[in-house]
Amino acid sequence: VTDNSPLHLAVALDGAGWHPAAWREPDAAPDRLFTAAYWAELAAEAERGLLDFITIEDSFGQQSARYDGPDPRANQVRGRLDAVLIASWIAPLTSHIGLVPTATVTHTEPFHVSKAIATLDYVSLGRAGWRVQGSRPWENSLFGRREAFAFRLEDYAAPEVQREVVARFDEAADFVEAAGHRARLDAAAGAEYASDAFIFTGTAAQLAELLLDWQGAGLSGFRLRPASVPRDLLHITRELVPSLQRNNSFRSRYTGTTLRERLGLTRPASRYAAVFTGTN
Amino acid sequence: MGKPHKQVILGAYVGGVNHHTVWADPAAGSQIDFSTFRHVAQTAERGKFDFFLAEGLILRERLGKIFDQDIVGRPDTLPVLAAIAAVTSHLGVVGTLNATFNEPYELARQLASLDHLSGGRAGWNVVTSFDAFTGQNFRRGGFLRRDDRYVRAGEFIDVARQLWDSWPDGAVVADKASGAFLSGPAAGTFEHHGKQFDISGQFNVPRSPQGRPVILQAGVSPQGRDFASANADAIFSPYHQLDEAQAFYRDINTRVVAHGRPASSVKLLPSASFVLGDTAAEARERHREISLAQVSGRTAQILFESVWNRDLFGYDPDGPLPDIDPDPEGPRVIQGRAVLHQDPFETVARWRALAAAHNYSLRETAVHVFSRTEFIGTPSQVAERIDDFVQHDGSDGFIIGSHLTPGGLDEFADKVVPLLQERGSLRADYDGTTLRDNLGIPVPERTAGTAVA
Repeated sequence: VTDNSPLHLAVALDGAGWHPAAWREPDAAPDRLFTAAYWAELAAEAERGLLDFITIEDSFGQQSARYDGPDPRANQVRGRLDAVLIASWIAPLTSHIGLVPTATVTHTEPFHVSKAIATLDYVSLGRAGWRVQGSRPWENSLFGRREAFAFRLEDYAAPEVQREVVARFDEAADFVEAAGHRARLDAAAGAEYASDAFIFTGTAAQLAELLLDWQGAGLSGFRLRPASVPRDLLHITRELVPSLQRNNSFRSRYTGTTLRERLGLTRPASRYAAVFTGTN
Repeated sequence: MGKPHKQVILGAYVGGVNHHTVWADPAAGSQIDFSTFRHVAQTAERGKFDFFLAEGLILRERLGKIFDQDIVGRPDTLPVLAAIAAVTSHLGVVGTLNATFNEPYELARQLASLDHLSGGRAGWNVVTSFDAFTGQNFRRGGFLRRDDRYVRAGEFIDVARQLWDSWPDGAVVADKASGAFLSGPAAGTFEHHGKQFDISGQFNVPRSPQGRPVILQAGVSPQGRDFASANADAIFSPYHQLDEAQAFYRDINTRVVAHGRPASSVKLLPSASFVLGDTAAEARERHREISLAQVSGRTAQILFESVWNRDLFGYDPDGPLPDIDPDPEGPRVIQGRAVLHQDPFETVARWRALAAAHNYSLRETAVHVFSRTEFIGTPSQVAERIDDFVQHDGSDGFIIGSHLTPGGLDEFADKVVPLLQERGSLRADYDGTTLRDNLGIPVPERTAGTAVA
């Protein structure tokens, strides 16, 4: 493949990794998931690997293997810190990597979300993004809302929703999953891993080949969900990236300063620009 | 005698949405760039301050247009505090956050997250709003009656405490060998059925390093004093005259004890600004220049508009005070500034008397009324007055701000702090790691019976 457009790579951070048994891996640090240093170290590793950005998962309610309510599990990672604040903490400790926390929009005031993400853009000097998500219906009780907000696909065809999503959603990625040591993880979890994303199991070189194939089919980049952290993150930064670099398919250093520049997105004009010039 | 020597508590803030900040000073930097907040916070930590305070909710308006006379706009409180915490190691990070326009589950979760990330340095300055103007920024609008704002705030804090207590200490066992991540599946389970909030579920942040983030409050009215005495770990005092401040100090301590709490468990902190000079005369001259820069003719008109509630741009700043009466019933000319003056007619009469006695112009009157600087003098005079005020129970410390952002606090850290340290009234170095350690207030016991089995 001799496509000149750069490949974009992001990594999705969530607890000890995406596999339910990730926290039991020998190199996992499940007792540090609620410390700032844990997240700063992962972000530093992603930046060392010259990745475009990291995403950080979040939700108001407890993690659950079920969509319709909490599960009574105590044998998987439960509990998480606010993702926007984790990203804000990471911001002054990094200098290039994009920071894309999840912020849910079902319960939080638009005023609060917008100024939080705008402030992340300030403290990161232009590296903020926003992973927009809705809350699960059963999380309504955390806010005293009795009426369940039913998820309806047709709502997402409404022009105003699409406009908002297009205007604010900067994530240029698709989903792939690396799980080199899947058998052991599945054994620890007692079940075969299921996911809403494609599950890749193989070497970094094979993954590089696959990503380039898909890029040739028209995809801009990929958000990889490491099955376990740090192991699979290190596979990405220390094996996958060098393998892509040998192909001249991935950057050898960061250029530009903002996440928009990296993703080739233009800076949007303020909707109030006309108002500002009109009054002065 | 025999009274223990008190440690002066120091907070720092970046001045902002008012005329105290001289943004036109050539040495003034950005009011919103992170470099400003990093500088002030790191200066405060160099000066062994207890905490940094951040705030802000709405831009002000004059006659329906965004107010551009002094600083407008500032970063969001919680993200900027998280970033500050990343570049400091001991300084408390306190956010001014509104109990009216936030939801307890979300805010309790954010504050607990900040407490984890900062290793136990989070604090919450609880404020309330009732005005429909601030409400315009939110879907619910101005939904709360003025009388109900403390009712909501009280229940809000109760719920927040319940959520912070909802995980037992040690709930995260993370035992790889046995496969138990939690000690049990019910961690974080809560229920609250009240008039303001009716919520239930599972809180998803483990108990944070301080147990509960520190709570700060401002309260002047009897209702506000009572609320703060019942709920707060520290209270912002509005009094800078020693006799008034001591009366407030005694009153709060009486109320604190009446709520079943030890008297020393609540710290009183007025805000204060300062102007230093090598001599007292030089400090006074510097202060005169600064206050003229703070109160331009246009600023003087706007400051008076907040009380007259009339458009005063037609009145010459160098002429006399407006001869017309205030119009308190008219539509608000200035929106988004707290109305501090209970009776505008009485206030205006007092200012007219002041102007007549000294032959002050409109602007000169504004300088004298609004340009408040508590500490003016040489570093040793300022250190002595701060220390005396605290040792005589006028307060337990001060929240220090400067007219100059971001470099103004440096002078205080370099010149006043060492003198406070010499007096034995300020730590030479931090001896703990949390905001509770800094303030000398213990980690609260987890309330039993919070979790629903």
